[in-house]
Amino acid sequence: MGNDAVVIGSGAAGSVVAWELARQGWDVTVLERGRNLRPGLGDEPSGQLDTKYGSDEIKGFRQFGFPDPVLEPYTTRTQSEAAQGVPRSAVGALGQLGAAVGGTSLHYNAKTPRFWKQDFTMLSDHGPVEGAQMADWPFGYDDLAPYYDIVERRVGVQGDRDKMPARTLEQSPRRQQFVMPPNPTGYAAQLLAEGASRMGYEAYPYPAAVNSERFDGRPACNSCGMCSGFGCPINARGDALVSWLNPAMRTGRVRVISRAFVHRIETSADGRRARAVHWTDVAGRKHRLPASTVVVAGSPINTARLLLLSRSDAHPDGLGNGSGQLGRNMMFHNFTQAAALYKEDIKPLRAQSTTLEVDDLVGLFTGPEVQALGVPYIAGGIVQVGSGLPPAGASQMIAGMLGYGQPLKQAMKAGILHARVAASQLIHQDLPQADNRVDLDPKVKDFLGLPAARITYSPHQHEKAAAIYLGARMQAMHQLAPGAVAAATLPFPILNDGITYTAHLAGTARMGTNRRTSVCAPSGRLHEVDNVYVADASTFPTFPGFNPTLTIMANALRIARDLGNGKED
Amino acid sequence: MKQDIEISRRAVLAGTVGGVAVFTAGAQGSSAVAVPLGRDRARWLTKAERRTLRAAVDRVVPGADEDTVPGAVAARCHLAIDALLGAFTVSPPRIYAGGPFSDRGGAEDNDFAEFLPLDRYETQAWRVRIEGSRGRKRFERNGKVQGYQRTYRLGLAALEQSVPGGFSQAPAPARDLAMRDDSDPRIKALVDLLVTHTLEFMYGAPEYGGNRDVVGWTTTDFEGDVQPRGWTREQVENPEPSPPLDLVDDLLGGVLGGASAGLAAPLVAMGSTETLHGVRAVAGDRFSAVQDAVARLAVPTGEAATQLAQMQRLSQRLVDEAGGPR
Ligand SMILES: Cc1cc2nc3c(=O)[nH]c(=O)nc-3n(C[C@H](O)[C@H](O)[C@H](O)COP(=O)(O)OP(=O)(O)OC[C@H]3O[C@@H](n4cnc5c(N)ncnc54)[C@H](O)[C@@H]3O)c2cc1C
Ligand code: SF4
Repeated sequence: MGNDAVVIGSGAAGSVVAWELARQGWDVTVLERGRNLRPGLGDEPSGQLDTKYGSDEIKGFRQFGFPDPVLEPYTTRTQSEAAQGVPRSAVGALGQLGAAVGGTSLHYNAKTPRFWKQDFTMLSDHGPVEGAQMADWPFGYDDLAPYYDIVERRVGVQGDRDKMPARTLEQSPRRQQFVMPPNPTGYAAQLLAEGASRMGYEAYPYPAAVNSERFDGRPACNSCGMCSGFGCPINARGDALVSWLNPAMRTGRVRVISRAFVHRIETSADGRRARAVHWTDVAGRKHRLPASTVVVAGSPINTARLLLLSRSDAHPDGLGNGSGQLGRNMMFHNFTQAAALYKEDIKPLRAQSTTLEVDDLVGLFTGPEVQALGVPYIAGGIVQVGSGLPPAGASQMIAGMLGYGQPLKQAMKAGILHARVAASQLIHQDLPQADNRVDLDPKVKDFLGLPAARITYSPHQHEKAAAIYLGARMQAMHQLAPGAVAAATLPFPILNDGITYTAHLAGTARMGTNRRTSVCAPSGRLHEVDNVYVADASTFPTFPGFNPTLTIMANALRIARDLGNGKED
Repeated sequence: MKQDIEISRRAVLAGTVGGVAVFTAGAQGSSAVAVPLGRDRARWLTKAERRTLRAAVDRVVPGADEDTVPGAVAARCHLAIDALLGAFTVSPPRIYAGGPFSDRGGAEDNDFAEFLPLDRYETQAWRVRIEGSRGRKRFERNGKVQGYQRTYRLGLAALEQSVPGGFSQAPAPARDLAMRDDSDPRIKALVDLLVTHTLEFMYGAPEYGGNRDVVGWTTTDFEGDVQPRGWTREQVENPEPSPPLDLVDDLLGGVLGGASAGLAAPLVAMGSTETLHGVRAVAGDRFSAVQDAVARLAVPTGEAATQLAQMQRLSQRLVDEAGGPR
C-alpha cells in the first residue's frame, strides 16, 4: 500500500482523514469543489486564521459557502412520484450541504452528542421493520468510544457529565468529564427546561464543540446568537478546518486544491484498483490526478453521485455497486419543530444557538400506544431546546403565512419569531429504505455538463408514527413552559411526504460484512475495489436521532487510522 | 491588515492553474489590496422605474403614516434592490458583504462595508442570476434563466401601467390590489422577487443598502449584530425583564386565530433556522413559492390533517395529566 492518498471533500470526514494520514506520515491531496473562506489557511495557526463570515443573514440567503443551485442543482421527488414515473418534482437547493474548504462544518453550530449503545444493534435487538432495511453496525459503541474521546479533545467539546441523566451515561458512557464547562444557558431555554421538567424530562447542557473558554488558541464564545447557519465570526467553534485540516496542512504533508470538481474515479481494466481521480476546474478544464489510495468524503449525496458517475465496463452500475445498494438507504433527519410564544421579550437570540438538550424522547418506545400507530417500536431522537430566528429570515416565514403588508409589519414589530419565541427541534431517527435513493438525473445537469444527483425520498411509516407520538410530547412540553401564551408544533414527517430541509444526511454506501447487502466493508473500503474508501456518513447503516458530525469525525478517524496502519478487514 | 480571501500571488506561483487555488503550507500569506466601496451605490434602474419600485416596496412594509413606525421606503429597500440589480457595475460586486464585524458591536472598522471579491464560480452564478443566461449554452443546460434585471424591467413597466394614472401615483389600496393581481405573469414574477428582496433588505444588514439607520431592527426589538462584543453571562441568563406586549394578544386573537390549544398558531413553530432553510431550499427567492411551502406546513390536508389532529389530542391529554398550563 502506498503512502499517499487523494481525499475527495474537505468537510468533517475528509479533514479528519487528511489529519490522521498526515500524522502517520502520508502525503495527502485534498480535492474540494468549494472555495476557501478562511484566509491564512495552511500558513497560520488555527487561532490566527481570518474569516469572511459575519453575523449577516443576507450572505446566508445568497449561498455563501454553499453550492449554487443554478450551477449545481439537485433534483428531488417522492417515492410515490417515482412509482408513477415522474422524473422529478423539484430542481434546486433541497438536500444540499455546503461547499467550502472545511465543508459544511464551517456553518454548523457544532452540537456534538454521541450516539447511544442501542443504536449499533437495532436489528438484532428489535428485529426487522417492514419496508425498512434495518441493520446492525459492524462494530459497537465501545469500539467507537476511544475515537469519540480523541475527537472531543481535539475539537474541544463543552458539556457537563455531572448533569447528564444516568440513562444517558449508561447508553453513552464517557471516561472523562468534558473538555470544558458549558456556555451560559439561554433564558428561553431555561423556560422550556421548566416545561420539560413538568413532563418529567431532564434538560441538560448540550455537548457542543464551542469554546466556553479559550481553547486551542481560539477565544471563548460570547453567545452572540447569530450562530446556526452562520460561520462563527470570532472563531469560537471547533470544526473540520480549524481542528483538523489546517493543522494537517501545517505539517507540510497535506495540500488542498479548491474549486476542484471531481467527477470520476478511474480504475484498472479489471476494476480492482483505482488508478486516478479526474476533476474539472471552474473554467471547465479537465485534470487527472494519479492516486494509489482514494478516500471519498463528499457527504452522502455527493459521494453516491461520484461513485455512480465512475461507472465503467468493470463496474457497469457504478463503482463498487455489485450489491445494487449504492445510493440506496438515503437517510435524512426529519425534524419536529415546536415553540412557545411569550408576551415578554425572552431573548432567544442571546445565547449560543442551543444551550440545552432533552434526550427523554430518544426511546426506544414500545407498548400498546405505539403498536396502535402501526409500528413495532418508535426510535426517537434528541431535542434542541430554546432557539429563535433572526429577523430577515423571520420576516419571510411570517409573510409566507400571513402575507406581506400590514400583518407582516405588526408581527415583526411583535418580534414573534425572534424576540418572543422559544423554539425547539426534535431530531428524528430515519429508517433506511431501499427506495429512498440517490441516482443520476436522466436530464438535469450541472454547469459542467454532468448529471445532477436525483434524490427519491419519502419518510417511512415509522417516522410518521414517531412524529405523532413524539410531536405530542413536544407540544405538551412547550405548552407547559411557564408563561407561554401559545404553543405550536410542526411534525414534519407528517406534513411532508418528500424531503424537508435538513443538514443531517446518511446512508447511500452502507458498511457491513456481507458484500451482497452492503457497499463498504467495516473498514470503509469498497467491497469490490482494493484502494477506494468511503469515510463519511454514507457508510452509516442506520441513522440514530442525534446530530451526526461528532460520529462522522469519530468514524472517519477510525477508518483512517486503520487504513494508515495497514489493518486488513 | 486582513488578507484578501482569494489566493495570493505566492499561491499563484506555487501552482494555481486558471481559477484553481492550490493551498500548501507556506504558500500564501501576503495581503491583497482591498478595493474600498465608494460612497456611490450601484444603480441600474431608470429614474421612472425606481419610482415605481419605491411605490411597490411601500406596500410590502408600509410606512409610518399607517402605524407610526417607518417602513420599506424609509429603510430605502428600493435603492438596495437597485444596487443588487447593478451589483456588477461596481468592483467588487455587491453580493457578499465582508466580515467578520460591522461597527455596531464594538469593532472600530466596519468590515461589512467592504464587499468581498467573488471568485469565478460565484461570479458566474451571480451574473446568471442577475443578468440571465443570455444564450450561453453552459448556463442553459436545464433551460433558459431569466435574470433579475429583466424580471424587474418588464415587471415594473407592466405594474406601472396596470393602474390608470400610473401605479406610482396611485393610493395605497389601489397599489395593494395591483400587486395582488396575478393575471399578468410579468407582474407576478416581479412581485415574487420584490417581496423577498424587500424583506431581506428591510431586516438584513444595512450595508446592503436597506435597513437605513437600522430601522428594521429598532422597530422590531431585534438587538442587531453584536460581534465582537457579544453578550455576558448575566445578559444571557438573566436578561432585564421586558413588559408584556399586548400586540401579541392582538395577533393571537386576530391574525393567528386563537391561542386556546395553541395549535391554531403553527407560525410560531416556524421560528427556527431549520424551517427557514427548508422553505428557502424549496422556494428559492420566489415569494409565492415561499407561501406555497408555508401553506403546506400550516394548513395540512387529507391524511396529514388526520394525523395532526391525532397528535393534538394526544398532547392535550398529556398537558391535562401534567396539571395544565400555569
Ligand atoms: C446550518 C447547519 C447547522 C448544522 N449544525 C450541526 C450541528 O450542530 N451538529 C452536527 O453534528 N451537525 C450539524 N450540521 C451538519 C454538519 O455540517 C454535517 O454533518 C457535516 O459537515 C458533514 O460532514 P461531511 O464531511 O460528510 O460533509 P461536508 O462537511 O458537507 O463536506 C463535504 C465536502 O465535500 C465536497 N465535495 C463533495 N463532492 C465533491 C466532489 N465531487 N468534488 C469535490 N468536492 C466535493 C463538498 O463541497 C464539501 O465541502 C449542520 C449543518 C448546517 C448546514
Ligand atoms: S454564538 Fe458563539 S459559537 Fe455561535 S457564532 Fe456566536 S460566538 Fe460563535
